[in-house]
Amino acid sequence: MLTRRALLKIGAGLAAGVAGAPGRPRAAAAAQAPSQVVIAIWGLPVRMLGSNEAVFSYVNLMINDSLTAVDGQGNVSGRLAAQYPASPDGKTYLVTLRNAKFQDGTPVTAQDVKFSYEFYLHPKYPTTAPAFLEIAGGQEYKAGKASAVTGITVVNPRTVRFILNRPYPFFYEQIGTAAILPAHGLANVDMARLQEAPFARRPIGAGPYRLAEWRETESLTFEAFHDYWAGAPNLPRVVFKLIPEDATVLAELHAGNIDAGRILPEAYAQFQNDPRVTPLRVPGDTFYWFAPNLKLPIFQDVRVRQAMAYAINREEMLRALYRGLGTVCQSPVHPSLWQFDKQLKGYTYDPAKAKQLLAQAGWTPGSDGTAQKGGQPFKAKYAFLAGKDYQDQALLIQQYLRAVGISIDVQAVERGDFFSRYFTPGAPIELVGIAWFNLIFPPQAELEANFMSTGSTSQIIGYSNPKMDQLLQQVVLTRDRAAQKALYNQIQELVISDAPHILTIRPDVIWGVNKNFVLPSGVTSLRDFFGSLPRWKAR
Amino acid sequence: MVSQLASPAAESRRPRAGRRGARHRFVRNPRAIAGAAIMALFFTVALAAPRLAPFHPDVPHVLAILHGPAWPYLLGTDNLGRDVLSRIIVASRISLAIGVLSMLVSVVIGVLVGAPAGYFGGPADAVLMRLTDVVLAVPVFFLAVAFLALFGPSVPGLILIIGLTAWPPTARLVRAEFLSLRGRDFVAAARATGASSSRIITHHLLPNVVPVIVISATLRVGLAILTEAGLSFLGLGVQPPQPSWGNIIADGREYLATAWWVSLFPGLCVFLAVMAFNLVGDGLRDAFDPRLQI
Amino acid sequence: MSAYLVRRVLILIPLVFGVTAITFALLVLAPGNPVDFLVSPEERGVTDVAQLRHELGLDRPLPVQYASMMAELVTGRLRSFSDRRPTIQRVAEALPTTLILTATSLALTIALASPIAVVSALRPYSGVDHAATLFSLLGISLPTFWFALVLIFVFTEELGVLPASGLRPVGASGYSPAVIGPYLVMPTIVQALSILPVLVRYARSSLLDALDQDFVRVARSKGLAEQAVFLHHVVRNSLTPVLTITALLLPFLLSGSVVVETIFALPGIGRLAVNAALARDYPTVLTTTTVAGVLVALSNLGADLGYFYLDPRIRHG
Repeated sequence: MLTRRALLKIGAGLAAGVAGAPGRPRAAAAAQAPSQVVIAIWGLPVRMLGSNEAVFSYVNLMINDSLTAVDGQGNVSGRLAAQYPASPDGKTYLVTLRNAKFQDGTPVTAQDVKFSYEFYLHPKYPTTAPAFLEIAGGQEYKAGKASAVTGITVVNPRTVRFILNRPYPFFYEQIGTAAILPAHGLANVDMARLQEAPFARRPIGAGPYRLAEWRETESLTFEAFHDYWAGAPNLPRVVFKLIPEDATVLAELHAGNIDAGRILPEAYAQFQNDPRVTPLRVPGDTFYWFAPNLKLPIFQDVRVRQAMAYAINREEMLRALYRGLGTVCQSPVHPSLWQFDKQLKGYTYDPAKAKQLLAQAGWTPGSDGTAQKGGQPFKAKYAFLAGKDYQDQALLIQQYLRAVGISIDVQAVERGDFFSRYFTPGAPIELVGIAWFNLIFPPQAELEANFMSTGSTSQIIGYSNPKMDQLLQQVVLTRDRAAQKALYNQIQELVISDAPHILTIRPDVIWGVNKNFVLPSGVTSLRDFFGSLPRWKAR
Repeated sequence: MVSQLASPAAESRRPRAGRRGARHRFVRNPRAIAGAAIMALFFTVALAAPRLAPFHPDVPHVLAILHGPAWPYLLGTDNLGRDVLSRIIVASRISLAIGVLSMLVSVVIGVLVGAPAGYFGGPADAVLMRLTDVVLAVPVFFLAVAFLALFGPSVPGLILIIGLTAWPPTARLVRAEFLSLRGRDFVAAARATGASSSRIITHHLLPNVVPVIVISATLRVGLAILTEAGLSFLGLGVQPPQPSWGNIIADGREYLATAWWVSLFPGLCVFLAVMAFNLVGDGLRDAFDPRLQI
Repeated sequence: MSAYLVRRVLILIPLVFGVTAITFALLVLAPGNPVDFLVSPEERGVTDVAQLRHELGLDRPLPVQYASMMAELVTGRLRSFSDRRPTIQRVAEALPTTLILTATSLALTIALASPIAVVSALRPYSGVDHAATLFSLLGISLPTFWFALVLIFVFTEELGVLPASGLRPVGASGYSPAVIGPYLVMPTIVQALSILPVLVRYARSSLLDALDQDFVRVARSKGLAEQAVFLHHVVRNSLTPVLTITALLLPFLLSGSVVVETIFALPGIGRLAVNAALARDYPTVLTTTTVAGVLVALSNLGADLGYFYLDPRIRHG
């Protein structure tokens, strides 16, 4: 029951709010160097352990560190690992740790490393990365048939030896990049009730920022870890503030209530001359594509798929939907990686060629403009993951395909429904529109999942090309980078010529950042953006 | 609510006399006629929709993205270059259907539940009101999530779920009126002359509840259209590319400052429609109870 | 009277079961299951999905799942699928925000609606009346998110006087009015605008009806002061539908809060409930629905008690 007193207080608060003008005092405070940066984010993780959420990867960059890391170009560097040579046969890696500490002051030891990998390989751990099974004994441990992972040995408190089943060439990129957790923090934890452990709510890592406060669905506050091995971060505090609505982020940026936030491409021009905010173009990590169900006869002719690829005006999609801020995307490999084939000739916008290919495949233009073959019109249903980007793109794709005689009905599908009834093996889909979020570098895992016949996406759309399988398997058997590059080039060319997925665009992510903050240069991806936070400086 | 005249018999006669004169009174009411005219215009547009639209509502014109109102896009274009006027015209069909039909669903159920609850009281009242509470507590968006996933995008489905979650207020209002009316003298008199319960409800009590029902109905139309807009905001309303006034407003919200026409014009349509229903509703209410007109 | 109250409170039990059973049935019937949200497609090959389903109890028959979750809910041991925290805790964190917003919105609405309705009823069909009607109709013509964004544009972006996101400044905590006041201004206005026309319409109509009744003429003819007549007879007799509507505005505000909470980034229960439904987090959905059901029942109980107080002619069966 509201008492009169409480009502009066609330009324006073409301009045104070209107009169108090919190925007103004903040402007005054900004005259001193800010000690914290408030970043608006579109989602917050609900789990800190065993999380597969995309937003968790950014939190991971803040609070955790790993043995090795991969930079924006795909090059490896040592983080917690000072030395990490591989044996000549490529099956043994001897990792020597540097002098690093966890955020509670305890040193990072070899024991912690072994513990961490066994934690990730535990039978009950929900999100074990497939690459970890390359470690000898990993598979047995995961299956519950062994009590420890035989392939990981503690040589001395600062040295760990990893033995692999085969000379897997991506140890540094796919295995060494796992977050190292303190054994003492998770000892005796009940793996079946992982989220109920105190550590799950107050994690400790070896990364540059300590998780200081976690207000679920509201904000995450990080505080600088002064004993971080690479040096204390410049900014003492970082806050991720959850703001679901883009328009609100824009307004708060203008008002100075937040320091950084993602903004619409339309706003990029708005902020060019803004006294307070700098717009920043960050190449996106999201690759948009659509794929046909290859089990349907209508899509089995490769010329049909190529026709669809030629029909799409990718540049126009970027111009129309993203003010031209982004890149055309035809390779499943991130362009900043060394694996990217710079010579790759993808599909140009060529509707005439598209119609030609359709004609070669036996499709003739019908009276209403829809192509037909044997009395059947070329009609298909295009289901896409509900969301504004997918929706707008779907409408443009519909128009482009209609122009070459392919008539599609577009339909948005709610997320839960999409992944259970559409994007799952055996689903009766015709065309699906979705995107990848390339958070994991290097591309091997993504390529396997999407193009290997046993990969999860291939199983859904029914793609199987023995040549592709062979190429992908061969990469793993080669340790010479030049040879790998040649293979990746071939793989990318095969993705183009086979056209099992039709890739479209990779929009930039536009950030508005308060001019009080200086970012390091060379931010080439969204992941880099968050990874650069320890090196942000306040003016 | 009828005033208490001295004679119960005269009082119970009023509604009958009212009905014949109601139409008469309605057409003499300029505001009611104005409202009816606007309603007629909307319904005509809705029925003729596809033919009236100058452009196809789904076709993007990439060279005319977010253009302001000007020839040939009289109300401007949206972020895909689609003509806002055409989309509004085609959307009128769906939005008016959602507004009117869900209103009918909710009003009919509301009266069917509220009247017996208020009149009979006792265990019937208790059961019906608890049922009302149950339906009130199930949020419409849960229904929408489940329905959308189960049956795919469907306008009849939306009408159903909005209608099925909107009837409790009408029921409670009707019940409250019946509760306060059933103790009046004219009801006792009617019972004394041997009228059956259903006759009392339909002939004596319902006409007096018309004002409440009418207000409820006119508000329901606007609220239903807005509920669909809220659902579209969450991605659960009429699914794109099919336009509804609600989802045009929702999609246009990112451009409120830069391309205000996208959200404003469909909003004006909702406003006009709600106004029209309101005027007609007031006219109906006044027609049934002329003494309220000054 | 107390027997009546006890009975109404006891009825909460079947009510809550009714609401939660319906909601649960709707959610489980909808395609999409919780595991899809906890394990991404790439990991499905490595994760023991069957084991995960077993841990979440999803391999049991539906009625058993429902009964067991409700039992755990009642004892406070029910845990959310997404973060495995007790749902009671998640709801307890989110509820105050929504309740405070609902309370301030109701207060503002009543404060605004009263003078509008009174003026309209005293001078029906006048210019003032029409203007008031038009103004209040705006509230049900334009969606709440539209109002919210316009207010944000004006007060945050252009004028910079009000914050547009969150419930309090970064780093602050608690619910002290001085701290959360500025953050509640715009959300309150938006919520109030959405229900204002409803209250105004009913209040005006029932005031008009009450003003017209013979007993009012009788009171006037007795020479009672106009004010007394008005306050005592008219207002009191017109309160029944107004009370009904006010009690009904609470669930309406609750369900409408999800839009406001999303736009203003308020950590309330509306947003929690919708996100849980979209992620098929059954335990959280059941808990929020239970809480909503209890709130609805309590507000209707309040209205019914109000009738009893206002109009002794109303008998309860």
